[in-house]
Amino acid sequence: MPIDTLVGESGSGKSLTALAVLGLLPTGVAQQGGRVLIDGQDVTGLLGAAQRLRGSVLAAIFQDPQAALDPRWNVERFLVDRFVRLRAMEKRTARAAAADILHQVGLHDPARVLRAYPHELSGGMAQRVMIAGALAGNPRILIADEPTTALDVTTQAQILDLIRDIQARTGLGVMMITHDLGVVAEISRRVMVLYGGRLMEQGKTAEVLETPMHPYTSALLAAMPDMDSDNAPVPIPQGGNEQISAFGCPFAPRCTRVLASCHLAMPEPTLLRDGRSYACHTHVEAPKAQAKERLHAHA
Amino acid sequence: MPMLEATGLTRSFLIKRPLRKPVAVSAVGGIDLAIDRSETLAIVGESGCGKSTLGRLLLGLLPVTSGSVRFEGRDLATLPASDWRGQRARMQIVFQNPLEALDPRLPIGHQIAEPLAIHGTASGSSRKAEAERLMREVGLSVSLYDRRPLELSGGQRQRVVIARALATDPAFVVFDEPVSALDVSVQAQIIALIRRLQEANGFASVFISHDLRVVRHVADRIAVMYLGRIVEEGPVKEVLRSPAHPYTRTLIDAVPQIRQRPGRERQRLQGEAVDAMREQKGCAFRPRCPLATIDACALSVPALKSLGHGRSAACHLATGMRTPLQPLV
Repeated sequence: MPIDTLVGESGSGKSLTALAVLGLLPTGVAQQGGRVLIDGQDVTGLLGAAQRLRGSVLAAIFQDPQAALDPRWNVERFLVDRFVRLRAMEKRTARAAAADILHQVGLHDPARVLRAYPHELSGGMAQRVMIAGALAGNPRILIADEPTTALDVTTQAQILDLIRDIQARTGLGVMMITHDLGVVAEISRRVMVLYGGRLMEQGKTAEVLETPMHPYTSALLAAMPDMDSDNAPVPIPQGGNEQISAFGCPFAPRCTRVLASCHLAMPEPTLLRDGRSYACHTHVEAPKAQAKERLHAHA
Repeated sequence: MPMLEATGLTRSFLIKRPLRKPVAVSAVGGIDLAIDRSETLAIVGESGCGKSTLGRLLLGLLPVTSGSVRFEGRDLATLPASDWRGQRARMQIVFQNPLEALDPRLPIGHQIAEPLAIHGTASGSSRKAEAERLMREVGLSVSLYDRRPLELSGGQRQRVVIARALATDPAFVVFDEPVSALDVSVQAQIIALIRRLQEANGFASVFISHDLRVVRHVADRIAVMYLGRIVEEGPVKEVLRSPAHPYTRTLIDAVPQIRQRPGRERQRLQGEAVDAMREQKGCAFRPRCPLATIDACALSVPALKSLGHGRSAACHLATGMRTPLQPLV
């Protein structure tokens, strides 16, 4: 399975999507519809109830690893606990497995790391420990919610390499959440662009980034500062205080290509080949052939 | 004469350790730099490299251990206390987290007007008018005057902090990671605002950031820091295009890019910066350096040498020339 990414600004619903899949929605937030399928099996609602399933089928890592680790537990206790609970291991086997899994996440002095408490770990080391904890249950899918956002750029590159490497080695499915299109370009084969809780566009990463079909994707790309170009990042228009219509496209108030119909109804996704789709009235009404041509030119 | 000049700037902190002797850790270890009027210098590096400490030293917010900072020809360390108030109006800082920099209970208009009252630059009635002018200048609607920080978005709060910093019409502003906590679209707005203000107001600035993608668009020159020292300095575009120091190169290679630079193998930086508390000989970057092969790297700390064209680097290999080896001790 390739690495997929979910990209969008804060408030776009990307983390909530992950939490819904994990069955970890906060109190007061309920899933109103839809299903979660893993290998064709419906697991909707199962995950919240069965903790064991979480961890052994789906595992997650988050932005702030220091906050996700219990400050009173050293790394050994954390990892042994994972192995005992998720793999029903004896404590002694679990200890050996803990040392072993640290090697797999690139921590090559396991004796020292196992004794360490979270506050003694650097951000990069703590995220590696979290990844080790996530892998302990031998999950089929890893959900990584902004796993490198709080890290230095050099450490970020190392962690992205590690996730890519683990994915290739184990065939684990990875769903990565990020707000950084640079990270998307580096790591994912497919990308989903979210805005206002809706899917704006999805497809192969290279195609979406090279020939964006949705005005929001284009705006997000233009807003990214580019290290190799003099083109200044272009802010996305603020859109004033007008309410987002409950029926319309959530991006309509900020969209430069907005049509009257955008405020009235959320566009249905337009499907292209290779699982590419976008949800926008402006392209549907503009000559569709032209858009397709652009896509083919790049393929 | 540059507007701001730092020579031999060092700052160390005494770290207390349980059951062991306190140890002096050098956060900034011997930095020389100069900033001209209307010029922006970006300071980049990983967390813990001393870039924020350097920013505070340049403003006199933190006393230096040794070395000096001269602002408009005057040494900040010898400035009499009575002159500091006037001096503060000339130099300002914008922090990363506006919520921590603003008073949560005070309407934002009052916070923008406060420096005007402190420095006596505007009297009661004209103060509000001036605060409103500043709000418009940074792109804030005047209708937000009586709002409190929590009622604003992250981007609006950062505009408030910038407006307040500009209230005294400073000649020098330190921006300490001003866009790091913002969403990309808001980040683009604040970058555009800072660029516009730089041009309109002509202040000199230091832009501290860990994001090389951002600094290209706000700075004229760049200084790359590693463990308390500047390892490379020069015009921002040239340094990003062809870095002279291996650390700069790995930093650039680590930036997640939408469009990859063609035809070049990226170098990955291994490990993390060595513990600043551990003394070590030779170049501080040596343990992680992909190039450190010659003896000089292990024996002597490379000095920041000029490479011509306004560029300099602190690397024994930067010019391909060996520096004379220091005698073994």
